[in-house]
Order: sequence, then C-alpha cells, then structure tokens
Amino acid sequence: MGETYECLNLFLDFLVIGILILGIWLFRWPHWAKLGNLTAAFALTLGAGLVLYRNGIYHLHVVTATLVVGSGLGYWVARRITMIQIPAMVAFQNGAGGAASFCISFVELMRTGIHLEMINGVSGVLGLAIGAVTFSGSMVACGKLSNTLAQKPRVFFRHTWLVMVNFAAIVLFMVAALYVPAGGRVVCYLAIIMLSVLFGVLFSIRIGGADMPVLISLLNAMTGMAAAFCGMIIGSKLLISCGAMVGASGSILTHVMCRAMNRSLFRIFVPVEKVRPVLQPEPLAEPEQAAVTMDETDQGG
Amino acid sequence: MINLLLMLGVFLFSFVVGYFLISRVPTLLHTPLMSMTNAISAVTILGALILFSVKSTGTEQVIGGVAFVMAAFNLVGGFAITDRMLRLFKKKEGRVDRHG
Repeated sequence: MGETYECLNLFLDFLVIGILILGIWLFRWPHWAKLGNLTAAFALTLGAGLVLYRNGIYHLHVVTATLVVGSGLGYWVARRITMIQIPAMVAFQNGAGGAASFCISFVELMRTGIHLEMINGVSGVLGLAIGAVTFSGSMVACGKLSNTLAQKPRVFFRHTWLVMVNFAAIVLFMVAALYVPAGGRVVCYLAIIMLSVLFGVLFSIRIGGADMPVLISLLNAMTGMAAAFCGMIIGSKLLISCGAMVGASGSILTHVMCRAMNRSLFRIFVPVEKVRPVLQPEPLAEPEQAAVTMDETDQGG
Repeated sequence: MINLLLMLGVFLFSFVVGYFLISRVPTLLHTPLMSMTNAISAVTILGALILFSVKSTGTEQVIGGVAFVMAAFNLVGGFAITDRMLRLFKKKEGRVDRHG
C-alpha cells in the first residue's frame, strides 16, 4: 500500500514537470508561445495544489494574507507599468525570487539546524548565498535599467580584488557554517547573507550599457539554481527540477547573448581593468568596448 | 542515500532537458522566454508552502511571510508580464493571428 502511494506521488511529480516541459516546448513557435506561457503557469498552480494536498497547511491566515498581497501587487504592477519599464520590472521580479529563496533556505536551515545532514547543509548554504547575490544583483540591475542608478559601469578602486576577497570570505563562512556548533551557525548564516548581498552589488555595479541583458539572463539562471538548492534542502523534487530547468535555460540564453554580441562572458564580468593601468577607471573609454556599444545602438535604432 | 541519488538524478535530468528545450527556441522569442523562466523560478513558492505545513515560531512566520509575498509577486507578475510581451508579438505579425 505504502509503495503504491510513493509511486503515485512520484508519478504526479513527473506529471507536473511534464506539463512544464510542454509549456517551454511550445515556445518554439511564436504563435503557440502564449499558450506555452499559460501552460507553464498551470503547471505551477498544479504543483502548488499537489503540495497543499500532500502536506496540508498550518498557518492558513498568514499564507492566505501574504499570497493575496503578493500576487495582487504583482498582477497590478505588471498591468500598470509601461513597455519601457518592463526590463527593469523583470529584474525586480528576479530579485524578489532570489530574496524568497534565501529566506526559505534560512528558515529551513534554522529549523533543521541541530540534525543537519551534510548534503542538506551544503545545499542550504549555497541556496542562501546564491539567493542573496541574486537579490542584490537584480536590485542594482533594476536601478540601472530604470535610470535610478547611473547606467554606465562604475568601477571601484581594485575592483577585481574586492570581488575576489568578498568571494573568498563567503566561501570561508560557508565552510564555517557547516562545522561550527549549532549556536554559532546563525551568525555564520547572517554573515553569508550580508557578504552575498555585498557581492551582488560589487558584481553588477561594474556592468552597464549593452551588457545589461547578459547580466539579467545570468541572474535569472542563478535564481533557478537558488530554487534548485532550496528544493534540495526541503526535499522537494518539483522544486529541484523546475530550478534546474531555469538554471539550464538561463545559462544557455546567457551564452547565446554573449555570442550574438561577440563578447566573452568572462570579459563582461571581469572587464578590461587588468589590461589598463588601474588609475584610469573609465571603461567606456576603451575603443573596443565603445565600438561594441555603438553597434548595439545601431541595431536598436 | 537513494533519496539523494534520486534528487541528483532529477537535477541532472532537468538540466539536460532544459538544455535541449531551450536550444531550439528561435532568437525572436528569447526575451519572452527569459521572462517566463523568471516566472518559473518563483517555484520557490512551493518551498514556502512546505515551510508552512508545520507549526512555526513567530520569527519563522515573519521570514516565511516575506518569502511568500516575494515569491507570489515574482510568480504572478512574471507570467502577467510575459503574457503582455507575447500579446505585443501578435500585433506585429498579423498573419499568425488566427492561431491564437
């Protein structure tokens, strides 16, 4: 009896994933894409229904209230904004997704903190860091796209070094979080979140102009990864699968965009700083890069 | 252990399937596709639902609630924006209108 139930559950999981795949598959033809979008939305609704049916809900009022507020706000904003604001809005939504995944990882890590298996710990900490990086990175991208921040790349003194040091610190705290006793873990988690937020800012503030779509695409891939790691710690195959799919698609789109612009991904994220003397932080002055930007504007106009 | 292997398997399977699915999408549709995958990544809302399936403390409820608002915003807004973008496509290409 129990086994039949397990098999049925697995089957239902795969059914939802299959519907989602169908939704993405429909994106091959422009006139079916709209249906594909609705199909994917349906798949996620079905997934939510499945989770509700299986696990039940404890704090119904909190869930209902937050759900109504979040989705109402999302729908309202998506309907109201103008076409020009859409890229900024997509970046903002992406950031919201990242924030959601690091919040969930955090709660789950706190809850299971005492008896944590290694794999859960690792994926939880990764979800925490990636979610936080995506959150702040997307917010910076959103600011740039909506002209709240300066559009052109801003390079700090020794920027690459700062990024490296920050990254090393995050890795250090991640390792620490896995080995320190339960009491010290919360500090590590909070430190990871703080440092990752800083990392996201440092990492995306030096990108600008024509490279912005690449940044958004990469951040999108990262949200997917964060969702997948979130799923690993919670133990939900649906989450893992959807997250991994988004991760894959985001990575490919990033790659395709880089190739279309004839730029290497590495050069976009670690710009020419190394080649030039550090005292002259004006990336757009570089002739090669200026040429690329002009090409882009030509195409746009 | 079986569970872990299954999870890794699901991860790899989805990654590969995602790769093959996306590599056939025409360049024209890359922007709406990005917007839709953005909406799909709000699948973390399922994680938030699972989080709320047991009794939680006040702090957990607050953080979970924030996660819920964010994820719902991303989910609904993402699909709505993709829908708007795709509607724009249809206007441009009048001849495929009858399919919708």
